[in-house]
Amino acid sequence: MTKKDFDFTKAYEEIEEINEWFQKEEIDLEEALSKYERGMELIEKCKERLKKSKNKFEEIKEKYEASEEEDSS
Amino acid sequence: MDAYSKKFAKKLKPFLDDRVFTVSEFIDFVNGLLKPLKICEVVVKGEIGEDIYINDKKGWAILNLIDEDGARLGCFAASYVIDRMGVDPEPGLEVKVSGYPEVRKNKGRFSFQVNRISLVGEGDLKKQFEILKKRLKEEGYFDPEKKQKISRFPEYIGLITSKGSDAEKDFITHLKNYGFRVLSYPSRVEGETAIDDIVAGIETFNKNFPELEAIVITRGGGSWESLQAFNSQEVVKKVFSSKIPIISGIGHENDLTLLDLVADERVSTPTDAGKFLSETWQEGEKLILESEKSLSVATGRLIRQVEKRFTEHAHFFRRKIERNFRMKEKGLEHLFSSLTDKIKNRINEFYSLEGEVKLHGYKIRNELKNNSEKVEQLNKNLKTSKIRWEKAIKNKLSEEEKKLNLSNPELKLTQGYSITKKKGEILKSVSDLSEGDLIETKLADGVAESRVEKDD
Repeated sequence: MTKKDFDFTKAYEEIEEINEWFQKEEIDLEEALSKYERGMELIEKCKERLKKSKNKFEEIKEKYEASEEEDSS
Repeated sequence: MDAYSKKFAKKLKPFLDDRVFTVSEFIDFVNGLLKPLKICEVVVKGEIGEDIYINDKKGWAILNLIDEDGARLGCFAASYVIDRMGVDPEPGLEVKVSGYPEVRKNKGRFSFQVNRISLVGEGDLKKQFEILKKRLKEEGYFDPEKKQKISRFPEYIGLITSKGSDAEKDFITHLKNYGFRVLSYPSRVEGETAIDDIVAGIETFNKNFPELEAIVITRGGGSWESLQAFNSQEVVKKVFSSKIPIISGIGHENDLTLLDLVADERVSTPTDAGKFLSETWQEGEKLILESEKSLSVATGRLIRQVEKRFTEHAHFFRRKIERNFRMKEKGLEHLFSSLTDKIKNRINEFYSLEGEVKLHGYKIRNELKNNSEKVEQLNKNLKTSKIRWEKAIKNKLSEEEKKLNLSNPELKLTQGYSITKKKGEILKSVSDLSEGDLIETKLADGVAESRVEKDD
């Protein structure tokens, strides 16, 4: 429950950048196609992340208080 | 209380029988008796008395708590405890002190060791609040530029709230299922003791879970007094020093708590805290779905644009080529027409020459025709003349022949004449003859040779 396996924020920001890029007036077709592919790939990943989205709860106080006491004794 | 004392005394009696303490032993014994109060912590309410002694150098202060009955409790507090109170202690100020009693061994005085002082009474609380707020503001604790940014899509969250409370339920209920991982640190949220829990919670999260993306500190609404933990200087300073961004969600009606001011983000209630965290995810989900469409649309549009541009270019080039062709064609036409003109001119010249030639030919033919008649005439004349001339000439000739025939020497020979030659030369005198010369004499019917015998 520590490291993220997929950085949603990063992917999302890249999608935003791609969207913004497409707002430009002059667009290179080849670049557009590669950006489109990249965008779609990220969108798929984000959708996948949104799918498996049940929240998890864990209570920690006792565990840590106990360990702190052990430390001090 | 009396019953408890009697029971306790019964237990103590065997220990105290025939026992004599030294002073030191006795004070230690009494402090030992007081120890349960130290473990539990006691809160005493009173008014600050006249004599206040603050030793800044050594970092402590002595003050008295008094009440209407004239009772007096000597209190000993470290400077930081006074400092945390947020206002300077003044006589007449109504306060609550929490701590424990003990007998000061060196002074032999009963004293209350103060861990925390806080004001009592709404008026004083407000006053304390305003003073503390002003001071913390001046010290930069509420500076907007010092606030930490919360990740746009936080999923790993620390929660500090009362276990099993409505606040906890509301927060969890409104936290939509976006795969949040919530670490809960149960805490008291009311009264002075809440301060310790909140501070410990922030510390534990920072120490053991530094990868948390936000810590939510939340509780439901309550009276001004009940929210004092969230107005404490300790909580403010701990929140300020937290490396993990902090979201406050304290239910209240009017003024913001100091926690609200120092927090990196603040919302009004536990429900709002859950919604706040879910909202960005909801927006994100929406944008992802929209992006999926808009990217396809944009790409499609782009392809159509390129197609259109391509067609335009094709048209443009075709037009250009056609124009070039037309220009070349025109050039050729010019060339042709000038050539044609030239040829025409030549032909015309030729025709005019031909005309002239024809005209001259006609003249010549006429001339020839005219002249041939003349020639014919001449011919005729010539023929006539010829015949005449032939006759004349014939006549003349026969006349001349006759004349010639008469003068022919050969003819003389027949008449008896002869011709003598010496060495081919005709002899005309005898002087040309010498004795012995051979001479030829031609007669009419032949030649006779003779030799000169005598010369006279």
